[in-house]
Amino acid sequence: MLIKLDFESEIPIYQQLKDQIVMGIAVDDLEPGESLPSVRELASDLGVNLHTIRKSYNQLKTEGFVHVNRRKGAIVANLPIALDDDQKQLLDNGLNTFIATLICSGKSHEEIRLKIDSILDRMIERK
Amino acid sequence: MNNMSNILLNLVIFGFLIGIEVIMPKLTRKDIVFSIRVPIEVLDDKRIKEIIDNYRKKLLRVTVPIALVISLMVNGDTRPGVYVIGVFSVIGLSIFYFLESRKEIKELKENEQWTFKKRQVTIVETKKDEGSNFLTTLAFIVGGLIVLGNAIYVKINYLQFPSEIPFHWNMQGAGTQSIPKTPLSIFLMPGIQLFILLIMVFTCKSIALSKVQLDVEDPKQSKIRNNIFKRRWTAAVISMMFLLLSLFSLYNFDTGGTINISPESYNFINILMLVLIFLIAGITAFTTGQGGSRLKNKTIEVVEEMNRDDDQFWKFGMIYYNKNDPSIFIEKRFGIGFTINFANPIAIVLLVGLLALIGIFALLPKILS
Repeated sequence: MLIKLDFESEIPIYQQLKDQIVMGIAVDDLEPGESLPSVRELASDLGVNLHTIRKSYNQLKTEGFVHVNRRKGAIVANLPIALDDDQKQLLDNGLNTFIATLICSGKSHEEIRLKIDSILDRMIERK
Repeated sequence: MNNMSNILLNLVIFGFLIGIEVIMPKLTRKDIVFSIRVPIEVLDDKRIKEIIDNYRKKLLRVTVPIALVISLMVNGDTRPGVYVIGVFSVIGLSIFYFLESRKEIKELKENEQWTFKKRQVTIVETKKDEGSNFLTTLAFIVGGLIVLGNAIYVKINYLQFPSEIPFHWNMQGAGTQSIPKTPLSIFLMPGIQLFILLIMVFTCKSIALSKVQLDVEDPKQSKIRNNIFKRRWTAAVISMMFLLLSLFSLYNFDTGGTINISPESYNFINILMLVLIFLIAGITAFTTGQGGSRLKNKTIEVVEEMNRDDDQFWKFGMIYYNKNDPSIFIEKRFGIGFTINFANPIAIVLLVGLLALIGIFALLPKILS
């Protein structure tokens, strides 16, 4: 899978990396059991600090998207991943804020539903 | 006749040197102009083409006369100093004109705000290369066996060796410098070969480890180009290694009296070897380009993004210095082959180690005698 990072974006690099890996897992670009590049390799090819990559990988590991094998490094976890209560809570909060923001920006209920549907459709298409 | 061939040889060397510098702007990655990153759609800009043309004209106008004068002046084993000055002035002048052109491109880029109009990104592929380096390993094992064979040869034929072991020859193969024969000093030639082998292993390792850079316009294709680029240079380095190992094996067998090479043949072999090495490097550079930029590829479509503007990390457009980047090796920005990340302590240690190795090599005759 290709990962594309924007260095001028407001979103920090570790976050962009993490988001894209999660997306990659969701649309099967990254398959369960597939190993991710080593921290050093990825940092070197991206030209970023080792800590940046470590931070992404650590978060992915804590959230259950990857597990770390002593020999093979970071490996994509089997789906579905199990979410703990804290994560569920975070997701709920995020989703609520996301929809609330859309409402505040003047979008109608129908438009919001369409938006969510189209995102979902696009992901299913990429599968 | 010898004088003629010397002049010819000089012209070949200078021709190669100047030729490479003149076509250099076309050997870099597509979106790099004099070490400055630009969006690919501006490459057709008249002003860029003009700067490249001017660089070439200025370079040729000064270096060709120097090359001609020096080539005619230096004959064979006399005055290598003049020759070195000639080579260094050609290199120095091309650096000077490079810096001048780089400044012009940089100003053009700032004035036109080329990078502000596009999103800058870096792309990586998460799939690892399964590229086997079995052949490379095999080549080095064979190289090692050649060195070992030479070492065994000198040990067995100790008595046949002359009382003085030559280690510096003129173009006709007459020893100009030598060390007295001792049970240790006869290993000079295998020692030189071992040194060559080590340098080549180091070079191939650095090629394999060097940073992978994908182009945003066609990441999948550029990944393939990158691999071909690395593979070809590895093959080139290995070919050069075998050429050099064979050359020094010949010297060794000649000194040991097993074969007898006439001065004419020496002259011929030396010139042939030099021409071959230049040809291998020149053809590889010209057909492949940095990062495989000269390989055939599908028409590149212009996209909304451009490769990340990393000019700030290339000091004087030549020295890569990026503290955040854990890379040790990286391909040269304007030039052929690879360089190091000078901000990486490991890279510095390796560089010092390499220089130490070269130092040991230079002192080898002293050490062994």
